[in-house]
Amino acid sequence: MVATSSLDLGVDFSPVEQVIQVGSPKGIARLLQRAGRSGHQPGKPSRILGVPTHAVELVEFAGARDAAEAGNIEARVPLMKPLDVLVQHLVTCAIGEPFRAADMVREIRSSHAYRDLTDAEWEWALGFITNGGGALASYPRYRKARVEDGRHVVDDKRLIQQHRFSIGTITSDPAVSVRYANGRTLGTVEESFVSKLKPGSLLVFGGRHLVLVRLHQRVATVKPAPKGKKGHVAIWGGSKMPLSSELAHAVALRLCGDGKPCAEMKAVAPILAIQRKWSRVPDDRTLLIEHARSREGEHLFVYPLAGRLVHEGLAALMAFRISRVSNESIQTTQNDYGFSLTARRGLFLGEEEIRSALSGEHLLDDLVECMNTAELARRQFREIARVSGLILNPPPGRPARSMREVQSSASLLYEVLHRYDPENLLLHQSRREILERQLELTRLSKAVNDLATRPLHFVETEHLTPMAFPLWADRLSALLPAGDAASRLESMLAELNHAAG
Amino acid sequence: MNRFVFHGHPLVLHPDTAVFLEKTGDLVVSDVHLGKAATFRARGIPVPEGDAERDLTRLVNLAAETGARRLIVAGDLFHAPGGITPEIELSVKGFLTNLGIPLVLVGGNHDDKLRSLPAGLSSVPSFESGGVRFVHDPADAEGPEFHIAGHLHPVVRIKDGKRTSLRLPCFLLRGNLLVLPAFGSFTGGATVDPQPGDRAFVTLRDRVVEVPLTRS
Repeated sequence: MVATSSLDLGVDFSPVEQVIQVGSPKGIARLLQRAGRSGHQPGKPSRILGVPTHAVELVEFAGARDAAEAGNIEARVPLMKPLDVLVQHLVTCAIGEPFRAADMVREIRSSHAYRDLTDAEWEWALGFITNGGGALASYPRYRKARVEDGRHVVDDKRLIQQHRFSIGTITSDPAVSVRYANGRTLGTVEESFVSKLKPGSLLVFGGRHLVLVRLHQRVATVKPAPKGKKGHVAIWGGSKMPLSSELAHAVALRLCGDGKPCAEMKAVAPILAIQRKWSRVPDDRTLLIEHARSREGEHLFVYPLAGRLVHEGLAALMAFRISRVSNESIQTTQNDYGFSLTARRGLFLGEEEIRSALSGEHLLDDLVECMNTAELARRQFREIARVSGLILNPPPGRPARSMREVQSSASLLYEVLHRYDPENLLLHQSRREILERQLELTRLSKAVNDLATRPLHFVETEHLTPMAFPLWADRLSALLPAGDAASRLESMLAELNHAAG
Repeated sequence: MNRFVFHGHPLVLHPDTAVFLEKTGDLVVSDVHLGKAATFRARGIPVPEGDAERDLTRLVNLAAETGARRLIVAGDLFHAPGGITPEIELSVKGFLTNLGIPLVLVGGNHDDKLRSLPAGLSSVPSFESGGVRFVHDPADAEGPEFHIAGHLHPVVRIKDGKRTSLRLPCFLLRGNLLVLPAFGSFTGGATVDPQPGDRAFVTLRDRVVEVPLTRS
């Protein structure tokens, strides 16, 4: 059986003898959880075989095994005060049985996630389900729950049905079923993927090469592709997990040469030998920085070994701070081991300049400025809007016509709330979550503090080292360009004019 | 500024998503969707009000700024029956007084769902003035004359990087048909699937500029 992470949890097939993990598990808990799908019986051993997809993943597997044996498993950090879940839960409760606010808040606060829920937040949540915006900003003609004899109750049949279709916190893209013209169904695919394809486009689905004939009402009709044609491969979102801190640390220990000899480290030894000869092997007690020159200009490769998301933040931060001084535009890339900066000039830096570019001073302000957090928060809002009931899931089957007039996009709702109800706590939640989940602010500020104490090794390299090469090869522009739409459009038009003549 | 001549008709594409026809003094907008937020609230979705007032003020300001002699709405002035609240009716009444020029409403698919339009308003299926024909749905644009329509809420996607793109509401010129962007603040859009010969114009600060259309 071939599966994605969907079979990680809660699925028991007792006859499974061995799990084959393709690519790094990116975390120790994930590795153990996946291994546990095999030999799923008391007293039976679980087996997992790791298949690395590139050389450095050998070190990740070795590190993961070390950490698993030592019992260094990632801690689960519970969510703090997710208000979207709270408002959904309150409506669910009010549908089941009318509740008294005083009893309910006592029960809510008894859970870990809401133990610090303030009175103001509680009042806002009650307001959200009764009058919209709390006591001061009630929305005209809005009602979900009403208060009867001191109890909150939802009794509108249509609202109840609508809410039941939207219960839950796992949000996913609507699925489209993929069929041959004769009606034979091949499976389902995410709408966001298939809607980007045009009729006549080639795609690979379920191991078959297909041509899209048409996409109509959640059915994608396909036919087999002519022989020898290659197509798009469906890529599902969420495949890029960052390395956990614990696994990153275990990998760093292995790179330092710690641990018992093992086959994985033996296999990767020749590559590490080249790295050592041309530069140094990075670890998490020192900070290795490589500087190289090419036809494009200068490259800086920095290896904090702190996980991809932290590196993304660090790269943006360092590029932002350096370009503030040098006025050069700087391109960044990152992976789980480090990040790279590329510019035409101005990257041959002294220790003091590097330390100040990575310092913890004004960390949050600088990050907010350089990471386009406004755009990120807008994206985060999609999930919050669905969980809190601002975006309705169409009922199963054909979407009802009457639903169409209350459909809107999360970004449109974000804008309207931002403009007319800026104190809406769901907006605050999306900003808070973006800092914690997307930028991993806690981990990032830890990393910044830690980097400040690490000795620094600045190495000028003649060739790209084995650790630098993947960063160099992945020179895609940063995911989010800075600036508002108008300035982005201006620079794009300027470029076009320049190209034209 | 922002003057164009399409099919012999001199016109101004206004950055606040409207068209002003100089020969006849007609100001044209489309897809205002008044009462959309109220429709949401009536269905138990908490969306704040604000856009209706704002959009009506924008219309009054546009009329004053351009010196228009008539306002033509190319359909979907209203969103849905559930959105026609007493508050909206009051706003519309005040708006018609402040506007001070005649208003022609070409009925859109959303307007047609209303049992009756608020007092002082009536709709026509299509309208003609100065050799320009106004319809709501581009599918109803028949005949050789220049047409102005709405309905599509056209949005153009412009790549500005290897993995990034901007989505901007646009005026879409397709043959003898000009499709207006949605005027309402609480409206989404549909990305244009460009056909050969199409031209798109977007608002850039206080200007309207043409942007290249690329087939994706």
